[in-house]
Amino acid sequence: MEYKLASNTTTRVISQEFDYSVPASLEEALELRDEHGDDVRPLAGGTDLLIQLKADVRTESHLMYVNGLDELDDVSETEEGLEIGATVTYDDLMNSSLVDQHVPILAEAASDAGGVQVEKMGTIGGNLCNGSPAASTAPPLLILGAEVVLESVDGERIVPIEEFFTGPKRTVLEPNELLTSVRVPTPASDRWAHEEIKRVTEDLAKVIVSVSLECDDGTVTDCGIGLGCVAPTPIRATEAEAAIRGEPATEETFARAGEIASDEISPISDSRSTAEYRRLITETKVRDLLVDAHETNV
Amino acid sequence: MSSEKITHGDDGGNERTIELTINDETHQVRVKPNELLLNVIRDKLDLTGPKYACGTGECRACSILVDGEPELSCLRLAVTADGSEITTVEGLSDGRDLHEIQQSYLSEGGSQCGFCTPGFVIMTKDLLDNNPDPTEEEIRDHLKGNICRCTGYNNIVEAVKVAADRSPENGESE
Ligand SMILES: Cc1cc2nc3c(=O)[nH]c(=O)nc-3n(C[C@H](O)[C@H](O)[C@H](O)COP(=O)(O)OP(=O)(O)OC[C@H]3O[C@@H](n4cnc5c(N)ncnc54)[C@H](O)[C@@H]3O)c2cc1C
Ligand code: FES
Ligand code: FES
Repeated sequence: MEYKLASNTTTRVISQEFDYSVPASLEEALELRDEHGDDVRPLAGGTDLLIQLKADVRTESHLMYVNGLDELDDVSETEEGLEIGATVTYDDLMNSSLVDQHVPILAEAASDAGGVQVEKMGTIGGNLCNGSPAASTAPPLLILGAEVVLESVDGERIVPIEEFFTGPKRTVLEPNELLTSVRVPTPASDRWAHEEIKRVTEDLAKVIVSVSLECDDGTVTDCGIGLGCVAPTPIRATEAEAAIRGEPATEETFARAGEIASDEISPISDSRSTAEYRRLITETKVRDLLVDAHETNV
Repeated sequence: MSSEKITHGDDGGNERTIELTINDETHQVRVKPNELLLNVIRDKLDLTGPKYACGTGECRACSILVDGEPELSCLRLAVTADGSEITTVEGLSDGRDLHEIQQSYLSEGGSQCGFCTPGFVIMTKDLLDNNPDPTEEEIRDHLKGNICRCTGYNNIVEAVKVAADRSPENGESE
């Protein structure tokens, strides 16, 4: 695998040639990864990867189709919450009664992604492994304290989602590993809000904001602020979170969280938005969504 | 846009045979791993209903049903569809008799140049199969990803409403 700048290729065909395998089981898939490393690239829904192959921004010699693997397509209940398989789609998240019951913010985030067809095709594993700062499922997973399960022939390792992303299009996934599932603890509080600021639904976001809030007797006891598209990776606004823990749950407090969050991010200007707009909208939306979360009847 | 040439190479190499059941007809097709399902359907199976426009998921003119689910054929490798059942817009009409959805697009002016229409008709079928009596909001939500540069969408929404009224579940005579 190698990256280069997009050349002026057509999107009608994929001109590079590659080999293709359909492993019959997870075990076989992990063996292929063990033998060939990143020379065999997992393909799930293809909604990110195929566009990159068309544009020749990446070159692959061998794709391995993981979407048919039974081991990866389930949502199940655990003691702490849910275990969501890597090939679970946005549509699955939106229609799962378990997701609705334990982590409805994930269903909300999924419903923001790309329109009906992309919801049927795009997977949570692909969304995370693609490593985009604009990944829709990342901000909610960050504030939920989710972990990803990375498996290889040597066994599995559990990585907190906060440590998974290392830069734009970069994660800690090793060449011999597959992301097999995402473990999501059920949050203590039902107060949450999520919004993607985008031009039209099919667009990637300009800014993504997810918040959660726990209050006791009018005081913020805990809170989470997850942000997308405002730094090289999806992030938590940890300074803003720390600043309002223990403070009165008022609009003033939430406005301060917005100000601090907008200071601690490092947005860039690109085709979807400017750095300045991203700072302004982060400030406003963090405040507004904390107010919304606070007003939720729990 | 350098080269628009579509190579379906016959060099053996890593070509393989896949089976696609399209509109109830089963085909064995030789494809290379890098061939897109859209191009195989259009160029090898001569079903030119699904359209190529953007190739990046933005326009939805290439929408088809794969095992009953609406997907973008420009973003699927044909090899990954081996063994699937596919419906394209051609699968809706019965010979020269148009399906009620197609009739409604015609009668309500839901199609002008027609380039987007196969995608919209497929998405309308998907909607009405699962929700025979949708509200206007549900119609707009289901079709929100599909782009039309001619109609301004209102006639398309009308066409879907009329198709829903005409569908057997809701009584032909309404
Ligand atoms: C029109 C359109 C709109 C979109 N809108 C949104 C949006 O609103 N929000 C958003 O976040 N994204 C959006 N996307 C991007 C994309 O749909 C999502 O990121 C999707 O979740 C990717 O999943 P996939 O299964 O298609 O991944 P693929 O393209 O199959 O894979 C993506 C990457 O992950 C790797 N990978 C996949 N599965 C695994 C695994 N199990 N283990 C290890 N590596 C793996 C692949 O090798 C590849 O590098 C959009 C895309 C399109 C085309
Ligand atoms: S050609 Fe497939 S979405 Fe535009
Ligand atoms: S009828 Fe021309 S694009 Fe829709």
